[in-house]
Amino acid sequence: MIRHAARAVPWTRVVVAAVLVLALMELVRRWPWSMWPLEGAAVGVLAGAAAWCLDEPSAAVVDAAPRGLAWRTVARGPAVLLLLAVWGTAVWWAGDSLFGQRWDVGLHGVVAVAAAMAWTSWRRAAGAARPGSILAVGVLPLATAWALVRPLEGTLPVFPYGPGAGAGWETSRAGWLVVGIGAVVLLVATLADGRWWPVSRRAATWGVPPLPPTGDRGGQRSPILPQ
Amino acid sequence: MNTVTATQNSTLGPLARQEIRNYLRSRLFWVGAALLALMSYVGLTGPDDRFSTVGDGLVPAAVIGLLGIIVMAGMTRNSDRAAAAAGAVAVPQRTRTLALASAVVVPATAGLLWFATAIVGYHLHPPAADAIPFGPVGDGFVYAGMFVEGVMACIGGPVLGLVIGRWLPGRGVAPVVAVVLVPVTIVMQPLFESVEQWRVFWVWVHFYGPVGVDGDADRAAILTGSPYLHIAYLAALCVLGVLVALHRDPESDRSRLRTAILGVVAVAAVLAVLSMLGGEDERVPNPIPSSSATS
Repeated sequence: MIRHAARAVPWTRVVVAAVLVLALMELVRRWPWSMWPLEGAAVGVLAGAAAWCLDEPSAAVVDAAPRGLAWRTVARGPAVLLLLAVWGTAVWWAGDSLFGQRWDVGLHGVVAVAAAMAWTSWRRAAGAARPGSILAVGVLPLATAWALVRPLEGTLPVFPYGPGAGAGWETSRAGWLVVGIGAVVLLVATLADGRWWPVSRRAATWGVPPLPPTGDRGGQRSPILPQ
Repeated sequence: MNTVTATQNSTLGPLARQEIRNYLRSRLFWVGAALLALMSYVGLTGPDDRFSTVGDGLVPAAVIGLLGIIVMAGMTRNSDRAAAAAGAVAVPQRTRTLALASAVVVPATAGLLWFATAIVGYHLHPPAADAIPFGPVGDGFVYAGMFVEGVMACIGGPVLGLVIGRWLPGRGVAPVVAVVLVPVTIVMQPLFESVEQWRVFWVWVHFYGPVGVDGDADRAAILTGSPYLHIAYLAALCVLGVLVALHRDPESDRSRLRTAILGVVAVAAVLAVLSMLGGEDERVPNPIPSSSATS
């Protein structure tokens, strides 16, 4: 498993992301009122990096190998744990600069990582080789733009700004918790291989051509679906 | 006109239309456009009580300009992939780069639409007396400031994406550049008074805002520099970006391009200096205190 992690994880990108997260959160710590949008950017970096860790460029090979998606995902866990450790350190170091909402800010990062892992694993299970890089390229600038503009701030405070109840921290917390729970459910369901789902439904839903009945496969094994 | 040039020109039109369609097919662009439409609606119906829409330039800059970096860098990669797949008869990189640059018309149109709604919102819900404009500046100054922050960012972002796509085509580069651009731009708004004069060398900077004075942290003020000349400076930077992207083509006439690049750099430098020296010499605070200071 360690050997798999050493070779499969894009460690350079993970380290770049970790350094970027630390730098962004340090700027937030120093000038929270001016630099607060960078908290959203840092969350985007975390999500993007976590997703990118789960990409498998050699999907056609590894999907047919005996090691299942769950094993391979767990093997990449150290990279995700590193990202979470960096996030925890950055949030702890920022301390009271986070408008007194250290736990909420910490929750943003943890849920973003969980959601990114869930989505990427789900797409991986569907056969996509590099869904993480696609997600990263989208989520990083989107999180940054959303944190800058803060649209629907009154009703949908994703990255609340300022101290006190008026900033919408409680609403935001509820939203992040819902997303987090959904992400964990999706992640567990995906990694559990979803054997209880009808094969035809999975194929139709995930865009994978449905397999012919078992008798007509000519001995071919699906690289994606459980046999 | 020789045969090769004529062929390239005849290819450019259809290719440019194709790249415009590709930009319009980008989901990231439409997410940004939806957010921009939402915020434009808010600007028309119920903008900020004090500043109206004069500070809304950040919205198109973030959701069209910033995302435009990613969209255009991705389109450049796709164009290169398609050319590689087409083989030796592919269209020259120069023509493809120009076609990609033509696609900037899409985010520019989005920016101009926002600009129109922002001006309508500005007149429907004028800013308060303790905001902007006041004293030495009028509506034209506000329009120019909004144009710098909003429309020029919608054009400049994708052009930057084109440069990144040509010179640093790695998939993770454009998002990282987009994120790094944000703190630098915040610092240059200016975060510190010491960089106020020099900030005009950066892009998409403020020329007014609630920057505060001693005893009134929310006081509106006009900052140094001329937004009119800054628009010309940013336009020169966009031209420079396209030329730098064209310079990547190994088959292009690089000596002529280098001369053109040096010429545009010189013009941009002059415009930046003029932008710094024009306008107000020093920060001019609104004589009317902000409501937070009086309450």
